[in-house]
Amino acid sequence: MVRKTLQIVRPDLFSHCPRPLFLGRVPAGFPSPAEDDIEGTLDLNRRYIRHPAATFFVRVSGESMVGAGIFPDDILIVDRSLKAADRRVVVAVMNGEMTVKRLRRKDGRLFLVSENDAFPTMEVEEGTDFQVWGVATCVIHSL
Amino acid sequence: MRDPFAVNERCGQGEPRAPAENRVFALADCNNFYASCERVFDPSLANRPLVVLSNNDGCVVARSEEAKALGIGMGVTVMSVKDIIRKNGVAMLSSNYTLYGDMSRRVMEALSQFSPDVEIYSIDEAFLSFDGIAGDLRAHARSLRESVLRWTGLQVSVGIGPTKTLAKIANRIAKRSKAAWGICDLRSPADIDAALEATAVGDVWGIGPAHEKLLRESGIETAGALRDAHDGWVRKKMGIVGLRTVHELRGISCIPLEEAPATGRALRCPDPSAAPSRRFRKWRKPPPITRRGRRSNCAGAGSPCGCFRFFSSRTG
Repeated sequence: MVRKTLQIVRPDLFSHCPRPLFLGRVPAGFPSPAEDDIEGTLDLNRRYIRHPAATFFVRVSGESMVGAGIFPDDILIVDRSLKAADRRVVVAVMNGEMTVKRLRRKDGRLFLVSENDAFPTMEVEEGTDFQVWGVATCVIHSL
Repeated sequence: MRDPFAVNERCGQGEPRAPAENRVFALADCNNFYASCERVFDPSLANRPLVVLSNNDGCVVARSEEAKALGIGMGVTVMSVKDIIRKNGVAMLSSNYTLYGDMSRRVMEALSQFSPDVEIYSIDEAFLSFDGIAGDLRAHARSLRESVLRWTGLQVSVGIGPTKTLAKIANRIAKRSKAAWGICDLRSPADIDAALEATAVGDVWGIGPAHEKLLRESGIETAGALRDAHDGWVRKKMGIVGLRTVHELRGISCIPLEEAPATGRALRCPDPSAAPSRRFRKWRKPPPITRRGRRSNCAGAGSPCGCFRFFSSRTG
């Protein structure tokens, strides 16, 4: 069955992969020679997945959020336990279709805003079949 | 564990029951688990009747409420309900046990936030201890339901009672009664009486088909009648396990939370090729295991698989 929705994958929470974390920021020009500035280790799961039971990865399709640095095929870390506050990037379900947009609350009205002028803002009108599926906390972008 | 005979002097036939311990158990059970898991990741299925199929897509292993209402039974072959499926636009999905296992872990993780002692009873249900939890337990159960729904997208029903058996009955009421809103608290004697009178004896946890038949032939039709049966008769006809069930119905906790998962559970993988009886005569030996899914299901349960059993029925 072909699914016409965002691709959602579940994180592997059982693999531990700590890697050395460098204390100083490395400029994009030349690498830092400060090998003794290793702070410790960083495990990306532990750093970016605060609520494992409520966290999923969502692969983005489309270009509606490029202005927020979210590009097609990027992976969002989505936490369902977080509150869908104003200005958060969310995965929302509208009339059965899933979409990634920025949530805006204004004067009691609710909007799903794209970060690309080519895509319109959608207002969530009363009575619309709408729910927030989860709140995006990070985006993973391959270079 | 309490000696079940010690209570007989206080709780003889016809006397009011007096729970000797103030234990509180809850049973949390996901509603239509497999179908609900699929809907979390494809919200377009939310309002469609939905069935989940077995490993080789031959039998129905899970149904949404809408599919149940259409008369699609559990374990039936797809061929036997293909007309219902076609006429009603029922969505059919292959089973995804990796997904269900992952979602089950998430539910159990969420439940562990609401009790220090959780016994995972099956892939979609767990007993929790609510001993010593201060405040309104119904509000606690409501908070549990809201958290599980928010974190995982899955609805759970919660039954509360002074024993595991009564918590199971409470859970059944919570799931089936619209007025319950997913929670049923059976701790007051009046509520327990009403619930046991309304529960068929075959729906009591621990009463299988053989015991149900025996009890009905003896005039015991409800859980309430079973609760009031004489201990000596129960022990003779149903053994110590049956007596334990009866005491649990009386509010005396005889079955504690288990700390380790039960072993030796049977895993069933339906094989639709066994259903048509005319094919039985062609078999001279059990059919080979051709689906890797079956072996991986058994391996994924965490226990070594001792043997495979193949069931078929012979008619005519």
